[in-house]
Parts: sequence; C-alpha cells; structure tokens
Amino acid sequence: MAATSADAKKVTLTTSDNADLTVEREVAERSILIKNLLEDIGDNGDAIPIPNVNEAVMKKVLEWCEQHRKDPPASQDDDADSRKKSTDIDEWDQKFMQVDQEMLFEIILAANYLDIKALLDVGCKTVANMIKGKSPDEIRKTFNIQNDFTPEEEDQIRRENEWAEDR
Amino acid sequence: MPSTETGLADLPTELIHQIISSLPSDACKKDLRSLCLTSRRLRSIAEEHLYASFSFTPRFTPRSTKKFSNRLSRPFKVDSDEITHHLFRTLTERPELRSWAKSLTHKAEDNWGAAQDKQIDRLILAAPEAANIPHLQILRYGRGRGDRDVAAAHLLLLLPNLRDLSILIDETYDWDDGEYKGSAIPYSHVLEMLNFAGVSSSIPGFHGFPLLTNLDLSFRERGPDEVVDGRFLLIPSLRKVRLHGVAFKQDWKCPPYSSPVTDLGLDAHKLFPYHKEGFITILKSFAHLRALCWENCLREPSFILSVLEVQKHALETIELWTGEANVGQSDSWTYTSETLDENPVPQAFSALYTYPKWKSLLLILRLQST
Repeated sequence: MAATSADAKKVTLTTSDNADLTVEREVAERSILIKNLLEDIGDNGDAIPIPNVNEAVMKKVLEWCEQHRKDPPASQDDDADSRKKSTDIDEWDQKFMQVDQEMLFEIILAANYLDIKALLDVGCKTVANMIKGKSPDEIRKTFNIQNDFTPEEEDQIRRENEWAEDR
Repeated sequence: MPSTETGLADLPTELIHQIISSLPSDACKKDLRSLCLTSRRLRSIAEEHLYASFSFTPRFTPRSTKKFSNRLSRPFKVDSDEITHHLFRTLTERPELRSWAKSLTHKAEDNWGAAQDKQIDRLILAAPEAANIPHLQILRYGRGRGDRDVAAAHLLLLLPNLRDLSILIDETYDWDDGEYKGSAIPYSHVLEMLNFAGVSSSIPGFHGFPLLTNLDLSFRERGPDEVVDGRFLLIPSLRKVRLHGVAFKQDWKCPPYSSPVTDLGLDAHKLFPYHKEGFITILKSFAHLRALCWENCLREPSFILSVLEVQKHALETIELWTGEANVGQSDSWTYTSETLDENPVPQAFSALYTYPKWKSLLLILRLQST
C-alpha cells in the first residue's frame, strides 16, 4: 500500500512485547540503529522490529527522542573528553531520569542497543552521580550488590589502594 | 520484588566502564576506591580506572611533636614519597595492574623524598625488572646517596604504557626566613631513564616508553642543573614536550631533523644556550616542529627569527613571551594569517609571511621581575 506524503514521515516500531509504536521518522532517527536501518532497507512502510526493548522502555526512550529531536548530531571525536568533563545534566533530562532503578538501567541498555549516544551519556552520568561520594557499603545498598569479599580480602584491597587515599 | 530486575551488576562490562568514566574527576579516586571494595566484579572494572592515572602532589601532614626538631623546623612533613612507595608496593605485588597506567604527574618540592625505607629498597631490588636493567645499578647507588627522584624513577620502570608524564619540581624556601633551602642533588635519574628510552629501545627488560606522547619536565630555576642532551627527544611516540628549568648540554645528542616532536614549550633554560647557535641546534632537532611556545624568551625579534628559521618549513603556531612592548595598551597580542589585513604582524616579525604553514603568532609582554 502506497504511503501518502504525510505518512511517509512516520515509522512504526514493534517492541519486544509486540506493541506497535508509530512516531515521526525524525524522532526515531535519534537512534543511529534505526536511522541506519531505514537508510539500508528504505522506508517501505513496514514496521521495524526492536526485539531488545519492551513497550514501556521504548515509550520512555521515544519521549527523550521527541524532546531532543532538534539537537545537533554528536561529533565522533571529542566524546571521551566531553563525557569526562562534567556530570552536569540539563534540567529536563534530570527530571526525565527520575525513574526507578530498573527503568534507569533499562533505558541505559536500550540507549546502548539503539545507539543513542546522548541518552546513554545522560544515563551513565545519572548512575555516576548516584555513586559519587558514597562509601562501599552505601554503594552496595544503593544498587543492591552482594558483598562477595572475605574480610581478609577487604583488608588486602584497602592496603593495595592505600596510595590513592584522600586524592 | 522479583530478583530478575536489572541492576548495576547486570550491565555489560563496557557500560559499567562508561558509567565509571562519567564520575566527576574531583573526587574520582575516592569513588574508585569505594567501588573496588563493593564486589569482585566491580573491583575488576574499577581498578582499570583507579590505576589509569597517578597524580602525586606534596601532601602536608602534621609532624608529631617528637620529630619536631627538624632542620627546617617545619611543622609539616611532605609525604609524596611515602605514597609513591605504597603504589610501588602494590605494583610489585600485582604486576597485572601496571599496564593500565596511562598518565603520571609527579609534583614535588625539591626537598621531597629521600626517606630511607629499607622495606621498599628490598622490594625494588627484588623486582624482576631490576635484574636486567643496567641503569638500575645507578639507581641503587642513588638510593644509598639519598637522591631525590629514585622512587619516581623506579616507578617509571614499572609503567610501560604511559602516554603522559609530568615531573614538576617546585622551589623550596625556608619556612621562616624565605631563604632557598633546596637540595643540591639534581633529579637526574628520571632524565637518564628517558634518555635511555630515546636511544636504546632494545635494552632487555626495559620498556622504553613505547607510547609516551606528552612529556612535561619542569625543574627549579635555581638549584642544581637537570641536564638534558636531547636523546629523549628521539622516543618515537613523543609529540609534545615542555621543558622548564632544564640545562641543555653543549654536547647535544639529538641529530638534526630527527625528533618526531611537533609541539615544544621552552622556558627558563639554564646554561647552554645563551648564544644563537645553541638555540638553533635545539630547534633543529625536530623533523617538523608545528607549534612553539617560547616563554621568557626576552630577546630581539631578529634573534628570535634567526632561530625560528630552521623550522620555517613546519611552524604553524608561535607563542613568544617577549620583554618588549610592541604596540597598544594590552599585554598580549594575537596575529593570525587570516586577519592580516586588519591586523598585520609587527614589522619586526614580518618574515613570518614567508613561512608556508604559518597560522598564528601570540606575543605576550612579560616584564622582567625585579
């Protein structure tokens, strides 16, 4: 069936739980994975399967893409630098990231899979901010991590990293 | 809550690396140490970051009153040496950590170090590196003599993948009367090691800094001479070098147009070269010097240009700290090849127009301190 010119700007994504989400092509193309797919197969109106992302996460990701649809594309070279420089996150993104931890990590995984660099950065910075300034115990509590060290091992690690104290 | 939910520990390793890279650098080491203590998996990932860069700056801790009767009567002790030793101990016990190190900044006062630590000495001499490296004999004697940079030099032997190295030695003044109380012993061991790397990459057991790209050596303007003879400029990976307070040896060992360094910063040179030929010899060392920052050059434009001439084919950006006020009220002037019509370079530097790759000249007025 021939797409009309108004529809041609839209694409349909099928999530892992078989939900069809229709969005503007410009929004979906924040994902380099989808952008490359559309360029390779051509926009024939077929739904694009996204088998690694479920509906709830995909909706959230698309909400971010919608907000950032006009952002300039990220440059390839300076990524390592700019990422390191600051943990500043813009206000909208901060609010956007106020989700439970499971959703936060799902967003990070989805951003990585869909190749949306800026969203991945925001996700990683959000987690980094949750780590910042915490003791090992507090980090374990925050992220529900099992301590698998013996007390002797903990002492050994403290001694090994003694040089880095207070800096 | 079902245990199937996705958490930090379930992320693929490369994403945890990216999260750790996003930690703000101000308290980064502390956070990395904490991460190392949370779980085996996070430790194995965080260690790569914790051991990627070392920055040692003097840390002043109060002396106990017992030891207060010190020569300099300072109520503090500087313990970078102790920290170096702690790191050395760990790198000896866990050699697999050494390859992560990419950057080392060693900042010290010149009375730093020389704490004799028998335990560390034993570690150093027992290290497998020690057996094969001829230079280690000198280090061993140096240690006995109380040389200042032996610990730092040893540390460098253990770090084969360094990209960035900065050795910054500050002047030391007496706490009370402001007099210079520096050591008379130069920081020669680190320099010797770099020189070895420049000419004899085939020394068995010595890594030879195969990845070293940026080198910053900054020594005291007063005090003993740290002498360089140019051999280290031949390290094949080296691109950017800043030299402050070093003495250039008359017997210059870097052949003309052979060093791969493209970016040079020069400041406060001691001894040779006070004459033009000396500077020409040094600048001639480089195959293609694209950027030159010449601090405290304080010489006539005609002198400067006759030195720069040897890099005419390559120079793109030039920064000169000059003692002469050229024009205007400000204390620095920028000229670029693109805006010459509105902003021509001073007549005295007009020879730069004939440099095929020249792009910019920055002149900074520096009044000589009295």
